[in-house]
Amino acid sequence: MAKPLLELRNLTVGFDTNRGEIRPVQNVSFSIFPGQTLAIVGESGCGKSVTALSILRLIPSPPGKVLGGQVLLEGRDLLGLSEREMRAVRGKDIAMIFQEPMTSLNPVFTVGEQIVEAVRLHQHVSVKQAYQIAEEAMHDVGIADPGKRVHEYPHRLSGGMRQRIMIAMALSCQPKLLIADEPTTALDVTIQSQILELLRKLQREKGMSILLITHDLGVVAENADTVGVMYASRLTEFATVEDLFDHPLHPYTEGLFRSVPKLGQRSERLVTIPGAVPNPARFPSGCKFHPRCPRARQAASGTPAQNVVQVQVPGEKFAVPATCARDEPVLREVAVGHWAACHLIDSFAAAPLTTPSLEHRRTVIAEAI
Amino acid sequence: MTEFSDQIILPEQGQSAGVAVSLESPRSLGGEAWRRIVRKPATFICLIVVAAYVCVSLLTFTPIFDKRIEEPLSADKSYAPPALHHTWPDGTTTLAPACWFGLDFEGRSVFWRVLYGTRTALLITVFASAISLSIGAALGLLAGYFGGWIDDLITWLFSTVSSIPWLLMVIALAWVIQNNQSLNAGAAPSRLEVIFGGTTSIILALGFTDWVGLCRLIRGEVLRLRDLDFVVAARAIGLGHGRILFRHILPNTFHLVIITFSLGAVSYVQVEVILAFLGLGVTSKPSWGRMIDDSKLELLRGVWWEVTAATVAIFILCLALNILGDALRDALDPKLHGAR
Repeated sequence: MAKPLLELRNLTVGFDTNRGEIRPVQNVSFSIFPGQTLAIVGESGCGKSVTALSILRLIPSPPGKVLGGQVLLEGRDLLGLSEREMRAVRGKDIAMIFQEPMTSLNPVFTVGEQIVEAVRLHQHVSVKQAYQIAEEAMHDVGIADPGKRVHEYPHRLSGGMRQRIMIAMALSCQPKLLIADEPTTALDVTIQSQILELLRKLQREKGMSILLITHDLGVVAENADTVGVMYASRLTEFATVEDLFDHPLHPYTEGLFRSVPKLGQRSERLVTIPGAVPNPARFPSGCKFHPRCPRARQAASGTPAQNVVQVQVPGEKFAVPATCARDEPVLREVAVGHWAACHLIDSFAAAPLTTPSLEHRRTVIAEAI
Repeated sequence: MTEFSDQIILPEQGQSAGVAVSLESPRSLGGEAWRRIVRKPATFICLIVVAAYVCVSLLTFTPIFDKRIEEPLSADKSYAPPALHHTWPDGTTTLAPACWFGLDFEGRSVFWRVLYGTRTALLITVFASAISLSIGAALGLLAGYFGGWIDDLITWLFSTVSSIPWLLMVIALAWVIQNNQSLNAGAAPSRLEVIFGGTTSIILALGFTDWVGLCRLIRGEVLRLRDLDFVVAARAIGLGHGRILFRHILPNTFHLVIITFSLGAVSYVQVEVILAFLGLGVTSKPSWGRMIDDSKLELLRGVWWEVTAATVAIFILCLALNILGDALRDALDPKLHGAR
């Protein structure tokens, strides 16, 4: 078994707010192997982006700080590095692209100057060589006539072109890991598929790993090898992409799948998950999903009354099993290679507490889709 | 299916985007702003006027001026009204620009002294701006970028400075610095003093009091810029704080610096006049403020030309700078684009 490229072990991140400390990331653990794409999915505000930013130690501090855990890059804990050592890791070993291509390039410099800056920061090359590297990188990401386009200012490029430039900049130093934080959310649909295809192509050519942050299950289905589902600061399910789509185990994951329209299936309206992601300042007790959980409501009807707790949410009052409202479930390996955190899975209490880690590559190449 | 998606991909990657962009050559943001300024006749004229003032002030550093601003032209070393011609002591009469604006109370040429006043005004403007803009920009950047106790300290500092009436502080500072200088009056003037000609006290007083406005503006802008993706992206490629501040954030606040400079220049020219009027102005060399101060009592006797010449010089410069400042703001503020 190969060694994982990046390992998160019980990462917990806190933010000081004027309503007390909140924890947007709690005990998150997962591994990414070389050449693998790991997708983190979840609704807005569940802690996906904070997880990504804290890997690079880019969370604004203060108010944010890492409260515990480890971020191991090839066995080296990034959280223990000095700021200077960390700067050498950023861009060189781990690069990042962002959601909003319109604001992620500096408007007062040409795109060439910005790529060259990244190149010269980590490689000892002359300006002229750096421009050559920049042009090659721009060619790699499918920009026509890079020799001329390097002297363009960002405001003259479309959103898709800018995202390509961002990718070129991120890849110019050949990072081992690319963190893509919702790379296609701000783009229109045709450009989305091009950018994703480009990322797949570059991953094949350069063999890098990708940590893909997204809320789009379609993107996950087409790109990911392994998937982590996040809800309210915690990882609630972790499995290979095939496993997760074939048999989701956590009721939240099931809810996510039900809320996606399916081709060829006629339905009056889409099923939604009732309620909203809880505010990190006021997380519910026990399992954070229990006020929204359909499985918990069902389970309560067959449970003796002393093991049931009444839950009051706006506009509704219902019963859930007491364990759901009292104990927070932690991620357990409920089936081989499939982790979930839900008391209502049959084998849950007996399942082992292992760290999610799967050296899996998808079997279906998504090119044909 | 595969063919279909290929067809969609082609235009973005290849032809259409390429054609649309290559129609015009790339132009920088500064270049766009410059074009917007020179396109309007009024602002173009103002630009030329300001350029002319700058040229004149540079010419005053040549030695021809030193003699002409001090030399008495009238026989009795007294006032003479504006005249086209001048009769020299040897009896010849020639066309003399020196007498076009009249002579002052010591019979010196108002024409040359007004021109020399340009130098004083621009010296004060340039150096006071340099001091106040660097202080304002540096503190604003630090406060906005680092936040925390640095921000608290700088906010406290500029709140304190801005709560003292500005002119009062300028006057107090100018007075203290001037008195300090006069204590060392016995020593021979250094080269620096020759160039600055007694403007140092005003420059320092203005420079150290007028940074608050820019500091506030830049702090606010940096607070906004700091969380934009391109700053986070710059950190994500491994840049340090210094490079991010000076290469990525500072250039994005330059429009504020330029606008503050062009509008601040007007007030510096005016404050020089006010200080001179209060007896705190330039002592050793001609300045517009001092000319107005010198001749204010003689106005009752009908000596109008010295006041007029200095006032008109100030008026034209301030008008041109104001119009130019507005045009600069329009050209550099992206929010006003298209609004005309």
